[in-house]
Amino acid sequence: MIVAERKPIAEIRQMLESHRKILVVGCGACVTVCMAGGEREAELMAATLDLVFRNDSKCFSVDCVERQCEPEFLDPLTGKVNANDCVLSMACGVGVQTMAAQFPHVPIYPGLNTHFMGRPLEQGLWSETCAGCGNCILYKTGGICPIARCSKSLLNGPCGGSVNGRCEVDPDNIECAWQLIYDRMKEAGTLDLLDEIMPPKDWSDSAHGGVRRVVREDVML
Amino acid sequence: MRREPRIVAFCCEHSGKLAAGDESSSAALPDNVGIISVPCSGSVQTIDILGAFRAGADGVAVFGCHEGSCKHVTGNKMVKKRVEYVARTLEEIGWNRERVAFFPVAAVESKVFRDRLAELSENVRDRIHGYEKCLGKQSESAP
Amino acid sequence: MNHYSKTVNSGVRLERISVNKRVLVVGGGMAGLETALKLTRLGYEVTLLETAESPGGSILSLSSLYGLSGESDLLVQSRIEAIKQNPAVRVLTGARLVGVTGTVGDFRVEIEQAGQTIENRCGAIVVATGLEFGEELPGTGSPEKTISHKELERRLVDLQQSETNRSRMPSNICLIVEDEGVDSAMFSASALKNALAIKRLSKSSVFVCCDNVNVAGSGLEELYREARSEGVVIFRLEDMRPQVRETRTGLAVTVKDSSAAAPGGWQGLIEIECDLLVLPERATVPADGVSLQHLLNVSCDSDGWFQENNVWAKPVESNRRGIFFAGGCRGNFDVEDILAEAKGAALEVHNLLRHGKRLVPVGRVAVDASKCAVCLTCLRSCPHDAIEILVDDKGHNKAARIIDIACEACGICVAQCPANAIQMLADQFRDQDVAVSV
Repeated sequence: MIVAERKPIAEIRQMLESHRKILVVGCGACVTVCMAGGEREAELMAATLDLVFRNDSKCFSVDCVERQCEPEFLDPLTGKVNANDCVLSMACGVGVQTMAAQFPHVPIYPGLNTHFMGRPLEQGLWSETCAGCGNCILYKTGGICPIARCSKSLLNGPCGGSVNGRCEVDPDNIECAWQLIYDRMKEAGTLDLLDEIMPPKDWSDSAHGGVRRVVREDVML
Repeated sequence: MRREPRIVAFCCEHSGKLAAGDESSSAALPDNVGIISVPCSGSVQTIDILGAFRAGADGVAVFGCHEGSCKHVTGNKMVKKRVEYVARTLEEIGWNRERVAFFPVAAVESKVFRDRLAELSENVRDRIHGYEKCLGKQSESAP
Repeated sequence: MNHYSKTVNSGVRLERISVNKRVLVVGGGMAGLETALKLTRLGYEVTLLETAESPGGSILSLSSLYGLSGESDLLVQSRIEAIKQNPAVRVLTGARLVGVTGTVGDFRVEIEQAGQTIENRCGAIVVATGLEFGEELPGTGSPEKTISHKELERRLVDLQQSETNRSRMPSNICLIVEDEGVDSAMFSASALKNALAIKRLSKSSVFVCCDNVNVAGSGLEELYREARSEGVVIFRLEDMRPQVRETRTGLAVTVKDSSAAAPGGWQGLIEIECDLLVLPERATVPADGVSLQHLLNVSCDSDGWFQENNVWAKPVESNRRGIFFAGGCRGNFDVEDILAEAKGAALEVHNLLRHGKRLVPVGRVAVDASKCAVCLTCLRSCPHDAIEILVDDKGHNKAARIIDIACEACGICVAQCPANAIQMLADQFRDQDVAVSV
């Protein structure tokens, strides 16, 4: 899922300084699960901002929608949005942009920094897992992605910076993806798959190739 | 006029609430303290603590069971982490992180309960008075 | 001062929930057998699981350590016989618990026996998996001169049977009763008994080192006095692990006993020269026990014994309603205690299941399914395993649900939910309550 994190309060404070009535909007999807922008976090944000701006006469209200990336879910907010000077969106970048598109005349501020697509390693700890490269090769690497989880996105084994299974970029926090791949495939008995040399990646399918689209004509109305 | 700091104390009903005693107990708690009884300190939410500050509290105490003695096993551990999160948030917004604290206490430790409340009140009181003095007037509680 | 107490909400109602009166007892040792027997006397049907090919447990091999010398066979055998003849007990040997789902009153268990999987349903589970002794001894020391308490027992049995061996008994024998991870309760009784036996059988000098001699069992106080009056020397182990070093002739064990300290600075360090050192072997939950902890989602203490070391952890109770512990698996070693616990566990089960239905407060804590993101936070946070994820007929996850019969209304899930999807109806305080209180 998409993993995001609340922006520093100081930055949010600057964004909202000049506004008086602020609507904080949470999102019920990914950011709820990664504890960054669900209904609970939106309430917490409003309460914190209330304390920050204690001596100003600002007014905070809170709402939350199922998903901020669908116009249908944003329609019911119209009245509230227009009744406020601005919106602090607690959604990922997608939600913020959808809000901005829906309400072009109201400043929509991002309350979060959107980081990556990832999964929980344990409750409260999320790790980057998928880079959205557009051409999945997970079946060749034992189900572990070298694009997302190798610091250099290498495709044919580790570099010299792999020491004791850790990545030299940040040995405390990053495991060497290729060590993980090797260990996994050894256990599965599929090491022979690694004999295939992967050619240089065609990055045109990834974000590097420009703004991407996916279309399914058969489901279009 | 010096104002007494307003303290809200969330009290686990198995420990803090019992240590606080009831209105008839001989060592009554001071008037500036509000007790909120909860089934487990782990049920005190981050939003409740911030809500207390928002409602005008100067300090918030959470009283729970000692380490390893939570009736619900992990409740006290969880709330300690939330208290730390609030403390860091307070710091981030320029407030004194010592305004919020978790205190482990056993049901019989009435004195410990009162001592901790007194400590918290002191920490908070200095801040209020310092701020007021510096502004040369009475005002809302200070960061 | 304002006191703010619980507001009882009429949204909570009481429901009669049926409970399965069958009981699963895991472990066919002393505790398991006793629990099963007591349960049958209370009118319950029991399934008894034992991983070995026959029940009896570790007491069969450790009888003398328990100070029962030979009686243990009787104790166990009579119970095994009683179980075998009781139609209310289904005994599954060579069987292991491999899966547990459900909740109190309706557990669904999977049992593996001879490569087959058996499914069983029960209302309560009693864990009586006992303990086993490791072979490794703490510290170093040559194997001929350093033995375990169990080994000492064995040699004493040999000694009793053969006169000629007695003269070959080592002249100085030192028994260490406790170590890291080994409670003095384990070996106090056997050490005293064996020390006394050595004194009576030979001319050896016997030293026993222990921080606190545990005499909290019947007859142990007298045993202690007898041992001392017949010349067993008892040193205290204070603060310090005994230091062992090899000498030309044998071993030297250094202990600290400040009650022997002289005024003027001597710390009470005593060096005991001995030819035979007896060290305590570690007792642990059987290897299966570790996976059992995860299977059942129950707490253990820091030494791996079942049940948290917590003031609220009443004997035999676990953090999950409907799952109980009895006997050696709790780190308990005393036979009388174990039998008492076994009976206690049976009574607790009886308390739970006696009417075949339980009156359960329903709705104290409830999930608003429309808000639930199925993020699994509540499931992971609940200390009582009282949350499940509902699925629809196609097996898709819908929302979390509170299992009322297991719920202890602690409010932890309410506090953890990032979607504000869980509410606690009773004991609820809201912002305005907080404001009033301030």
